[in-house]
Amino acid sequence: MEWQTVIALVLGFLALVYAGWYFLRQMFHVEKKPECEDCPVPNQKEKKK
Amino acid sequence: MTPVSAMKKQTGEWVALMGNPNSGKTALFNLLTGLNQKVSNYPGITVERKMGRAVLNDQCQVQVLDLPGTYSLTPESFDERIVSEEILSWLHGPDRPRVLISVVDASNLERNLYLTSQLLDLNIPVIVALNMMDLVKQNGNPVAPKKLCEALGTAEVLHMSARKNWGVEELKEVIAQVINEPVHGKPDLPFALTGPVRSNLVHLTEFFKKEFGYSPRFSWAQALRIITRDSVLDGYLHSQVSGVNLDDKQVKELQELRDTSISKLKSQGIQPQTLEATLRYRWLDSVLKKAGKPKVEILDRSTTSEKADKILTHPFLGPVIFIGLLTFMFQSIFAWATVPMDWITRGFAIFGEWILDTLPAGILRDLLVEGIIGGVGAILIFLPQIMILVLFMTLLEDSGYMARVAFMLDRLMTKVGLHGRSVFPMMTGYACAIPGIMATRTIENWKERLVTILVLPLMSCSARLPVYALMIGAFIPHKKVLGLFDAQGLTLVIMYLMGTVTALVLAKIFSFFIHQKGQSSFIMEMPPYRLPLARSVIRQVILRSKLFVINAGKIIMAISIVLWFLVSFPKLEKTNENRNPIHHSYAGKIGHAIEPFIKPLGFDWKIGIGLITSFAAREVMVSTLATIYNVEAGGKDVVLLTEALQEDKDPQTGELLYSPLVALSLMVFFVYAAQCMATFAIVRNETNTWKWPFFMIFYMTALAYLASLCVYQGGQLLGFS
Repeated sequence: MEWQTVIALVLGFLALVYAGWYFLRQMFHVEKKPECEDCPVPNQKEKKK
Repeated sequence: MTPVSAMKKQTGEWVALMGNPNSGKTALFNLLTGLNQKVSNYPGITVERKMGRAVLNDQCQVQVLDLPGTYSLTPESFDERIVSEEILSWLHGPDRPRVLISVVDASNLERNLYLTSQLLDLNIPVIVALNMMDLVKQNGNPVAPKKLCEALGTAEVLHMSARKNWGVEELKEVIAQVINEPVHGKPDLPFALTGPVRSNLVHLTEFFKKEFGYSPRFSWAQALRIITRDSVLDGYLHSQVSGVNLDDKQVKELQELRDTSISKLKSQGIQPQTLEATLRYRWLDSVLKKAGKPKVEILDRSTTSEKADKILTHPFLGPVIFIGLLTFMFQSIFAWATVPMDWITRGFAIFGEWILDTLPAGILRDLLVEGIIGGVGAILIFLPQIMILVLFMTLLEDSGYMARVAFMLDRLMTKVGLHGRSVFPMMTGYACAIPGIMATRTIENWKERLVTILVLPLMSCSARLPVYALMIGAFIPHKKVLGLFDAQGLTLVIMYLMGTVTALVLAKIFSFFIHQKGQSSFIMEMPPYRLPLARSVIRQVILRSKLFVINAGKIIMAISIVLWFLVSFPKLEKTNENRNPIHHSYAGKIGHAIEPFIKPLGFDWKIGIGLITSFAAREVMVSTLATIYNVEAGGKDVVLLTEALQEDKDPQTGELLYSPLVALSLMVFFVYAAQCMATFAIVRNETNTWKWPFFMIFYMTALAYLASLCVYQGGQLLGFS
């Protein structure tokens, strides 16, 4: 297989995986503060457990 | 004394920042931690807990917790409840801050120190940071820190200005010092509880001491507080906090003791609701007197802010100025962004040409030029417009003008079932719906909050801007309307106004169907007008630009790559001159399958594909069209999307596919369409049910379809093509 095809297929696969992960994450993970990149605040409910 | 070296080895050392809304806590948090949390000049920016690490000196680091602003420990709204629950967790759990930093707006000492006086009851060392001293010193007569420290009984009081970045190093030193040598407050309440007040609260106080092990001072303080509002009692009954687990007997006993105290106090002519405030303010008056603060005199002359307010919040002039400012803002987005947009376009074209010249013909070269450079480049050219929008919004917020807008719109908001506090979240929605929806936590009434959440995504966020700008740039002529307005800028204003007006109308309709008793009043402290700090404004613009380029850029690139494969395969030779192989591609087949549903709106299969992909992020619509056109052109050069849209023809009829009417129809669709998964996730989180996000998807999609249908079909009936 030609080298360009191999690299393109790898890029395509990675893009597909990222897009799938992005869709799932968007639906089930809440980005509480988009501009906050490092906020390791423990959750109150987790504390209770 | 704990040695500094030993302290460094300890993990979990942390301090908490607390204070009134708009007292500058988050500005101080950013300076201490080096983080970039949003700060602005209006109350209620911080609606959740945030933590960051501060380096106090070479040997000492601590975690800093920034809490939402609150006027007292008696919670009124959701964000204030976060604060009171946090404090309960300190008292009932094993972990508590080593130091409390009470951030005080020094220009309004009396009111700000009320919260400080409550914090002193917690038996945790309190440092008072008298913030905004730059403003106080301009007016003379700053309070003496040492005297105030003695009178209050705090660990330290110091002057500072987070805006001007002075006093912060001194604060760090003081924090390290107090962590090493804690200075606790006095063991008893600083004001005497005597006579019927004492006798009627003694049983409640004993309950707190016995059941929860509170200190005598906090037991008295909590007894005094629990009789003021039901929300304090609710903190114990419905708390999620660890340690606050009352059994049925304790609940019954606490309720009975509270009811008895309230009824006895009332029978003796004492109002429980105002008792704590009366006692604390009386004490604070004496504290300020001791600290040498002159009694506030009633000024007979207006301040500069008050003079400006007479014009900017005038019943007639105020709204006219506001609409004028918005119009100027949107006109500028087009006028000022043209040159940098041309640079970016040219840059991507040169990059594409370089790839074409450098790489041999092949799949990778086509993917890079048609998919990645074509798709991502088409969206990145809108970066200057987004930067200008954020710049204006930040200037309006930081100057204090947004608070005046909230004040002006309060009456209108109340009429449509919303709240004056809904204005800030809705204005935030112009940048992004997610922080806007989070900001609704400042609205205490659930119905008003829910209605605000439901209509907030109708505010045109910055992700819609590339779609509007693309369509306006391609189909709306650059000419003057009424000799004053630019047609392109005016169209953009109309799109933003459509979303806003529809949000208000729907709020009225929703508030008919969502029932809840009561309506909250809107009391907001009007912040003074301030010259926005260049540092803060630039930081906001860079932050939003980074979010657009990096966060949105990643998914835009991924979808452009996936889409390129779908548009480019299966590879077929041209069967006849009129039919491009792209129609037989996987994407072409999907697009043609949905075309009958969107044809009545004036959309073809290419836009149909864009409508699907833009569920990931609205901007993806632009990169999708760019990728499709680049593949269709065969990768000879990077296609200029506006030209491609203007020149695209129906292969069967030979007529132009897109017109100003189609562009309008598409823009209207984007004004209303529910194409943002992240928004649904945050609505689910804030409402704690899937019911409301699904309702939102349904009503917004239906609205988008109907509005777009009316525009396109109505336009055709009126003779527009």
